[in-house]
Amino acid sequence: MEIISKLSEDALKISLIGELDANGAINLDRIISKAIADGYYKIAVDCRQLEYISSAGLGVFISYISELKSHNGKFVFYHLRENVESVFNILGLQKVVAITPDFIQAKNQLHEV
Amino acid sequence: MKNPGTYSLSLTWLAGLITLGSFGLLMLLMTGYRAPVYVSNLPAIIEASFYLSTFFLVRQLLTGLGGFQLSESLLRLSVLGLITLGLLLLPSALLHTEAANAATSRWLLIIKGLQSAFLVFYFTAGALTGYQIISGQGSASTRKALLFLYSCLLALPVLQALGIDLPLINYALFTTAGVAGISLVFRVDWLVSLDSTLRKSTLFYLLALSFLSTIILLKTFFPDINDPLPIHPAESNYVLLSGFLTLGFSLISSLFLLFHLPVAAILDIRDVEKKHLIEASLEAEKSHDLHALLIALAWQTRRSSSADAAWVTRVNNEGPENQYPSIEGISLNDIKRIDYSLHAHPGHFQLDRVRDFLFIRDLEKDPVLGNHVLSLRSMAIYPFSLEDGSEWRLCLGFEAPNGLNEHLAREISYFVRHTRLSANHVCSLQEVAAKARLEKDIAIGREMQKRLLPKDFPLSKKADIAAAGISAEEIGGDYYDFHVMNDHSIAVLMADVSGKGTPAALHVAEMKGIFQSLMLNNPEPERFLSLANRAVNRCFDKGMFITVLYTVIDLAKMELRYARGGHCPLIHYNAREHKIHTLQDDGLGLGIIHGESFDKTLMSRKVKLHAGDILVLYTDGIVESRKPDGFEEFGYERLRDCIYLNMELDSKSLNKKILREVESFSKSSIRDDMSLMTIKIKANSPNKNHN
Repeated sequence: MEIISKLSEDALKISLIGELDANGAINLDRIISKAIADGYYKIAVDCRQLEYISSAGLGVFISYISELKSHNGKFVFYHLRENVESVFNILGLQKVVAITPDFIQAKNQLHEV
Repeated sequence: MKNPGTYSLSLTWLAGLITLGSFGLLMLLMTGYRAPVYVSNLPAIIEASFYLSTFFLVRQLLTGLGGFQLSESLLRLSVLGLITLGLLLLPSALLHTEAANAATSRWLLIIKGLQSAFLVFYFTAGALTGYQIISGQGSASTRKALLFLYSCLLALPVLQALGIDLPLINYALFTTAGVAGISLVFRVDWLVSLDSTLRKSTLFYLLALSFLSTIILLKTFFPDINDPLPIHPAESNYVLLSGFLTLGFSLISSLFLLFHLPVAAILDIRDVEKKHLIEASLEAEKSHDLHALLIALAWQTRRSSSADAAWVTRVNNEGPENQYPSIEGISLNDIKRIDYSLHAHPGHFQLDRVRDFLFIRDLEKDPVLGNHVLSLRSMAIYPFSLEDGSEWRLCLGFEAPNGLNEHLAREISYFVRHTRLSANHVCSLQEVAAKARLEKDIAIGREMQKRLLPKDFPLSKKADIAAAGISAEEIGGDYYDFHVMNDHSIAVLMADVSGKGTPAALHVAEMKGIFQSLMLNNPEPERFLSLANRAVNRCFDKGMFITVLYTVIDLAKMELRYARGGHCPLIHYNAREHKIHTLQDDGLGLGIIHGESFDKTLMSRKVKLHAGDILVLYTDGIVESRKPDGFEEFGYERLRDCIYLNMELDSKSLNKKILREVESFSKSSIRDDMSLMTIKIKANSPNKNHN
């Protein structure tokens, strides 16, 4: 499940809740693609309540990385649980997306270009 | 029906006792004959119970309760009543003849015995029928009131015969019965529910009833001195009331029934139509072919509605080019013109919420469809959609300006709904069949995928290699492979495509070709990942990625060279240090970023190997296995412990052990593909192949 809230003109916060599996990924893809279509290129992802993320779920974020980048945008993930962070690290995603411990840092990261 | 048995049994006994009591009292009166005998009270009782029974029966029919047969009960009552009446008349007639002697008195005794028996039968049957009817009534209070009224009316003539006259109660009771009777007389909707045979028998009984009551009324109005069964003046009120009510009821009912007969004929035709539709529905249920179902839909509805044309359209919302699986009685061109108009004016025909169909009268006056010169002058449209999202409509065309009545239109709408259900059923059956075919394909795919795994493990003298895997779905997204580079080196690959199931498996098949052709050139790990990433970027959809762990095991140099492309880290048991290492270096999954920026993330590592070392390659399905009821993952710690505790086992057994451990942890709730490869370095043998 996702909760979306607007942060600023071009920034958005998506809170992920529970498990992000292949089914959830389809929904997430719809949300992000709509967000981008609406002109939100800076997306903070709150993972405080994210219990599990499948490869399909990661794939959704990965598929939009270059598109966000071309609009000077990015994903910033924050508040990752240990198991989720481990998944990110093993895949090497920390190299391509920003991961921060909390929301304040995430917001700062979001507006750095 | 409300079960009469549940209704208090004491009332049955009460009704029975009253009946038998009144019968006994009557017998008492009759045995002490004093001529001339007024026996009018008996026919009156018969008449009264007869007419009340009929009322109750009607009431019961009105409230729609079944349970026993109207005509059967009426027949039983009337036969018993007529016999009893005849037996009553006979002794009275004999007593009035001059030649009453010993012989006739003997006959009289026999007749009286028979008479008593029939009276018992008659009153018991009457009481039971009445009770059945009463207990079928709506509420307990209605039932009690009716039973009371019935019992009182039965008891009254007995009291009168005994000389007890209660005129006030008498009048009150008969007024109540009269009002109830009159209110019932005009409620004739029960006639509609009669079928053709029941209609005829009911008409017969009603006419017989009117005849009987007419005779009794005539006797009351025109008393004959010589009448052996004169009506007692004291009872004439009673007889008049019951006679009029019965006559009124039976006459009015039979008149209604007579007038109803032509309507009934139409109803019968409708019944036949309905029967056709029901038959068609049953046929439709058996059908396993959507096309046949739609042809049957047009044919059956056309037959039942006597429509001049019928067709089924599959509506194409994109444009006017629809499909027509079934056309009857109209040319395709005409249909196309109609559909074109319907498509061009989407808001012209709106269904209201109550009716799920549309009937257009006087087509030639319609602003949209009137422009076309058609032979049809009215048209019914039944739109429906199936679960697969397709939209359809059934159209019926009539040459009459008002070709379909409301009633039949509704019947057809039910039939359309029914067909829709059957069609959905057919669609789901087809889906199941398609799924079965797909499953077969998947089984073949799985077989093919198994063949992807190398059977002969190379360099088995120097290393003991075993691989095992479990797929979450029929075919998985995990992939591992070997490639013998030379007589002392082997390349081992473990990969995991994102997602699972068929799409992942298809990518695995694709990657196998790519990886194998890349491996043929004996690349070093870094080079391999770089090339593979380029290939993945070209082949994969956006958002798909693959994690790869590529290792080169050099048994001459006793060294392991590897690069990790975002895959789960290699676990290395160092036999010399007696320690387990998790080789988690930097590395990024393949397909995430392009070309050179990916190459920059690459890192190749070297690790010294020793005899007895164990290398374990695996996919995330192993470490991310979870307990079915919690979020605790199997994790790296458990995996390392399991390897450490079972390091004495050979590769194959160690694999099995690990998988069993994972399965018992997750209680076999497999969520992701799991693959595992164990390589045990054997003691460095000094013989051949070593240079």
